[in-house]
Amino acid sequence: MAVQQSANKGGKKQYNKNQIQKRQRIYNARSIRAEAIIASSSNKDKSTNDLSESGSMLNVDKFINSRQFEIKELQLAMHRSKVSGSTRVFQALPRRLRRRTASHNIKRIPKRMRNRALREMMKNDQERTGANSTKPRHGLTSKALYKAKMSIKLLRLASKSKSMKLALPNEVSASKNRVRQKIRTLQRLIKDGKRHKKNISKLNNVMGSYDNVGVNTLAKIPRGRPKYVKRQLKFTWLPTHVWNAKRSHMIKRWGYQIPWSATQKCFKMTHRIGSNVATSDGTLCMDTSYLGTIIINAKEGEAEQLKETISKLTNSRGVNSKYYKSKKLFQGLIHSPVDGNILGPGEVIWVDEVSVLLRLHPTVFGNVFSHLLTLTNSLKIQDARFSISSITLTGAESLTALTSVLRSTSKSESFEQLKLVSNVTDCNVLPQNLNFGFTAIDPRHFGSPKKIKHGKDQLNIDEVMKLQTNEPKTEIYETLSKLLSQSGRTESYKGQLTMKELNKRRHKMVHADSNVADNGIIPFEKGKDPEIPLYIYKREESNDWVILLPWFWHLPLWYQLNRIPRMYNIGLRQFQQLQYENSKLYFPDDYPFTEAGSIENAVYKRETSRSKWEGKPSGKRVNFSKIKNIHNTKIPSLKGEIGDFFSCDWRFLQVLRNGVSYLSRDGKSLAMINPNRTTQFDQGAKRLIEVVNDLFELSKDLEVENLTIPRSKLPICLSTNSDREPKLVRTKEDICNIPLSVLPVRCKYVERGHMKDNARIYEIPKEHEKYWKEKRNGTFRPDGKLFHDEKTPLVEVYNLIGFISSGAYDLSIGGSCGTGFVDESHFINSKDKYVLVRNVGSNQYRLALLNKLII
Amino acid sequence: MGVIRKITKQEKNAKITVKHPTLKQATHNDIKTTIYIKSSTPFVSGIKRINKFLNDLHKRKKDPQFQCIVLLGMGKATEKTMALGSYFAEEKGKRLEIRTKSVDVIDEYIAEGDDNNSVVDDRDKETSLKKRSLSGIEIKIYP
Repeated sequence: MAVQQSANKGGKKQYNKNQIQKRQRIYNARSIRAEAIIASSSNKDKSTNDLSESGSMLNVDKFINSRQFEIKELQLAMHRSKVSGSTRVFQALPRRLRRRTASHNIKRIPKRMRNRALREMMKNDQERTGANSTKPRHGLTSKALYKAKMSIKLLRLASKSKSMKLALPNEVSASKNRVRQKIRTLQRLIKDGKRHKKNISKLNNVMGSYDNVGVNTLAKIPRGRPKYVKRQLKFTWLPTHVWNAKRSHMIKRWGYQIPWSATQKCFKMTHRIGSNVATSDGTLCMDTSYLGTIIINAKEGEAEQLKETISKLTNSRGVNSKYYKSKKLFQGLIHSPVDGNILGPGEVIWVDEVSVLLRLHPTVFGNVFSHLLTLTNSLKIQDARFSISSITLTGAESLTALTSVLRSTSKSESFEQLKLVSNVTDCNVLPQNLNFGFTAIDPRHFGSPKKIKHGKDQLNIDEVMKLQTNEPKTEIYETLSKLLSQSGRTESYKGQLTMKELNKRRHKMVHADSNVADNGIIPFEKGKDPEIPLYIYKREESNDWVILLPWFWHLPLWYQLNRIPRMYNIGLRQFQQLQYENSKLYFPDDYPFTEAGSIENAVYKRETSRSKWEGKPSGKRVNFSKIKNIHNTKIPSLKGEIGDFFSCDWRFLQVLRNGVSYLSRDGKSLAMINPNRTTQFDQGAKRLIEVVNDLFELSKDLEVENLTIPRSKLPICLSTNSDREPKLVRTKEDICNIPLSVLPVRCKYVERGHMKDNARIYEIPKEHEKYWKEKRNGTFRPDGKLFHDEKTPLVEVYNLIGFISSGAYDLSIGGSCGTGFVDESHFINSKDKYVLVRNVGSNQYRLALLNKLII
Repeated sequence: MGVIRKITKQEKNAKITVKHPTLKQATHNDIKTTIYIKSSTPFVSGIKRINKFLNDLHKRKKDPQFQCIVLLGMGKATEKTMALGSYFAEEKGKRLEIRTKSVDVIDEYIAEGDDNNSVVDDRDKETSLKKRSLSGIEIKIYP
């Protein structure tokens, strides 16, 4: 108490003995020796007297030696003070490996540090958590106890029926049924199973794996273990859900729970490893099983029908001989078979003339699948959403990672090829659309991942070229057809072992033989052990590798992959980032010309940012309607920011661009406002469009829902090469009726600035071209630095040509970049590749370079 | 197929769709000591990056192979690589080791017989591979 009082009075704080010691230690560590005096005293020749109070000349070598000594002392002091500050051993761990539980559970600390950690814990008299610490039993009422026991009983029975290879009946996995009902069903099942009754369906393994496929119908949603049934009522889990839920933030979208982003910060890491850079030295992996898989087999003599269907889906691209005959992967836009609208991106893999594999985003899946169901008299449609899963790997070491957890079951040419290129750290060197297919042994046969050893001699470029010419087509075909057939997948689960049995085998192997063969890999026994059909292919568009495998083999492979050093898990957010850095579009955010994309933009993202904005007090948020000096001419119907503040307002752009071409039809001149009168209406009380101002009134009308103005469903459409003739806006109704055709572009800031989502893209007006040309070459201040803060000439509001759908700072070019869409007519009219970009809520225009994107 | 065929005139005029980069088989230590210079790399950024790598050299394996920074540049970037090397030789007094190299890269051409169909997009046409040799330079900068 006395100490505190003195502290309050402002006197010096009293330290105890321990604190004084600590302070002294830090003080000593931080002290730095200087050499100046020593240098002079060591100099025996007093007559030169080169270091005196008044200052005099020095010898070069002495001067340098003295500075060198000082630098060394400084470094030493820095090192000393760094070491003296550290108290516990786990603080030396890198950030990624730190665990909060490491302070009381030494198992969270790497083995080499454990002894020191133990000593430190003893010193502090800390309580330790051991392996077999039990939780205290809580007193339960008899009712609660009964309830708890019942659920445990259910789980026990379920695991017993699983180990008896009995298929889990529907009543158990249905969520509505009561626990007692489920228990009764299971008990009956086990009883029947023991008597080997004939009507009982048996699985071929003790892991409970089965092929969950829907033939000509949607597949049943897998509920997994009975324990987790109720958690998957609305959103299905991916195979790695539990693993990912511990390590990533999850989102519930499109009927799945999908990892959104890893819990630890990983923006720069994702760029460094996953982006197309030479410094990549790791792998990023993601569970992409949420992408729906459809297998279509044509019935006899119906190959043409299948070809036609795929042609319709891919706008006749997917049946070119590159894909149809050479069996390369097709990645491109999927069109609706009904009306030909673009649905989203998809993948098509031809297995042979009569079977094909489709991989679609869940938003696209339903639309395509329901169409395919109408064709079941000539085609066999398999819904393989829950029978084929996929893992996506990116980064330099993805092939190394794969080969260190996979071994082929027999001598396989495709696996030899994979092994050959597994050391290549830049996948772009490999021929386009490379693929591998082989049957692999259970990845759990490895004790830990084992890298394949390569010889000293480097891979030759001729050998890489041979990959394309010497492709083992029959082998890949056989594996792929095994993977895509129901019997093949079921066969792969035959004899799938539990961890317990595998460990027993490993134990036996280690003890039978003192010199363990095969690096501790449990030897594969042909005929007894399961063979997993695997298909691995390279995707050019997103620069990554996809592994397709049977659903219940996903988790064993996933666990092994994640034991590889420098393998990191990512989520959708990181995938989006990589697409952005690759100058590629990300579905659905960058696909506003599709229905899913427009909903994403105009509903989800808009509402989230709007409610975020509205949640702020009015003094602390941008007042969009009061921003001044955005455009040159002020218009009565517009105040401040144009369009919707929280999204790319494509409807606004459509009305504006179509309206401008309507107003300037037949060479009429464009007028901003009619100074004599306000807006006018015709006899039918419909607005007359005569000046630019009327367009904004019209776009305001469109927001009022009960006004029946005819409008196109989507405000924009992707411009295609097939119809070069742009649709002319002739009548007033066309303004909102004809969708504006847009082109995907990439904008890059020429000078400084930071592009954000929803930024506005303007064309450079003719009269300002000279100014911006000078700016492009750089205007400099007298001190030689670039001049940024001058006043720029303002554009008119009708110069707006597009929006940035995703803009950010791009680490791979070291500047700000954005992906967006601009009106196609801009490309026709203007040869200039430069545009102006302005962020929402700002009046600063920045010059940007425009590049067309091909999708 | 390992034998290099003579290039016919038709092949010479064939359209390249993809230019593949050089073959890289780098280990972790290689990656942390090698810098690829692009023709678009700014000079000062190159210097900063090399300096950063030089400062981190003590973290690498005590193998003489990894006790220097390797600059690689080919084609148009050769000159810039040399300029960076000579900056470190002249201004910083570092020891250099310069080697010329010949690097093979693969080009993908639109395969013969598939270029008549003009309706089909270039990326939907079948391709064949061809090797092309380039000269490049390797500069080792010792701390």
